[in-house]
Amino acid sequence: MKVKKDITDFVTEKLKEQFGIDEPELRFYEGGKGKIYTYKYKLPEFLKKYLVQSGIYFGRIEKDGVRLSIDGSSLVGKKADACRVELNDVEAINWMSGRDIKKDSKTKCCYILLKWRSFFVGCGKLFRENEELKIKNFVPKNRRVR
Amino acid sequence: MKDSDIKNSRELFKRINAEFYKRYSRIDDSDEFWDFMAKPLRQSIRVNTIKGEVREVLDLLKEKYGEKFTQIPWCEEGFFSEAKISGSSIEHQLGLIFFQEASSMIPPTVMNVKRKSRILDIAAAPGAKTTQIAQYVNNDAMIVANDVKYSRINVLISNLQRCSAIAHVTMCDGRNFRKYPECFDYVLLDAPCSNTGMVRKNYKYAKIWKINEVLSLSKLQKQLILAAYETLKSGGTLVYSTCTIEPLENEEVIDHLLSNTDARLEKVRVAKGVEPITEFEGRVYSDEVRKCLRIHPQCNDTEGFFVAKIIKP
Repeated sequence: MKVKKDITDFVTEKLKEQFGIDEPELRFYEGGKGKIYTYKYKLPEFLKKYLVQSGIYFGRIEKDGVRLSIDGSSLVGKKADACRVELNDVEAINWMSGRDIKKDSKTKCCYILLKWRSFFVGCGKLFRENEELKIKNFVPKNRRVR
Repeated sequence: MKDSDIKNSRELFKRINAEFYKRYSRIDDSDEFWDFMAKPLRQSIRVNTIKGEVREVLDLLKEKYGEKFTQIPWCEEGFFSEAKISGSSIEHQLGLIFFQEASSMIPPTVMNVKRKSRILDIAAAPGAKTTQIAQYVNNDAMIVANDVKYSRINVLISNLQRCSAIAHVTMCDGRNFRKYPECFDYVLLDAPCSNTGMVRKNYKYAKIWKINEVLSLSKLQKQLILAAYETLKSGGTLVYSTCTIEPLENEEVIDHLLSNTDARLEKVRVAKGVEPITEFEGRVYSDEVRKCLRIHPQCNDTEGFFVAKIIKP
């Protein structure tokens, strides 16, 4: 998706629209290939020549919305009042092993936040496969459990 | 004969590196000291409160591993673990816990960082203390996590990521900060050191130990601490720490700062320690260095460690 407006405004709006998250304090910037990073306070000007990365990888701008990383979902998940689903222990292990999750839900969401116990474990995309509703897995290989 | 076959710890270290044994026998010649130097280190973890409450994470760990966790007295979020938690476990991969040596949890706890402040971690990689600082301010401060080595920056970034710890990662020689006076409210200098306190983790630190390396590190640490002090605001706090028991890298560095600036020390007494060294090899250090915390492995069954808390008037 091509974003014309300020990335912070765009992501803040999308968080509200997709998940009901009101997050006015985080700033966002695009780091290439649709990747969004987040930070809170600006780096002093004199240190910019040494800068390697500001903040953490928050998520990605996709053509149908914003998809959050595991750690992005941890930062803002508690504020979500829409499009979130609870996983049980088995589902959480399956999710963190890189598997799609089967989930009965009447939700119309595209992207969905996943909560296990009181922890947020990422964000998936709902899709249908053989009449079954599933959550597509995006857990990167280096974060999977073995 | 293999190192592991030697039962007497003194004999073990004499065999590994005779110079090392000779030097540190002059600092602590108790059997207890050498026995603990040879004893394997306990695993310890810190709960990352950015991701979950201590109680919730601890409940999860106890369900999975049983009652194998003991509170670390100086760190509310820290626990000694008898469970062998793996790096590919769900609690680690989610960033709910961070594997961190118990004594290395001390520097962030004594910094008493406040939200909305400016914080610099000069030698931040691999990021254990930076992530601990970030959780103490609940990600509500301007944190700069700096390191000099590119090879270490990637590990730093991935640990910050896993913990959802928000910081600006910079790469430069920490001595450069002397050019930017009065910029930070808090500075942590966990200095590059000879790692003699980490011998319990890996005997290689005793094997590769050389006095020339100590001398060169001591020189670097003196330059780094002056830069760290320079970039600290008036009224700010600088914490200096190392994982070595070497006086030239600890008390001597603090004495150098005290002799060259108006710095004053605040007593650090959060864990058991031994008396800091005020005289060594004909050098006499300020009595003020007694306020530092010198930890030998037998004090708390941890690594050897050193912490100083410095205030800029």
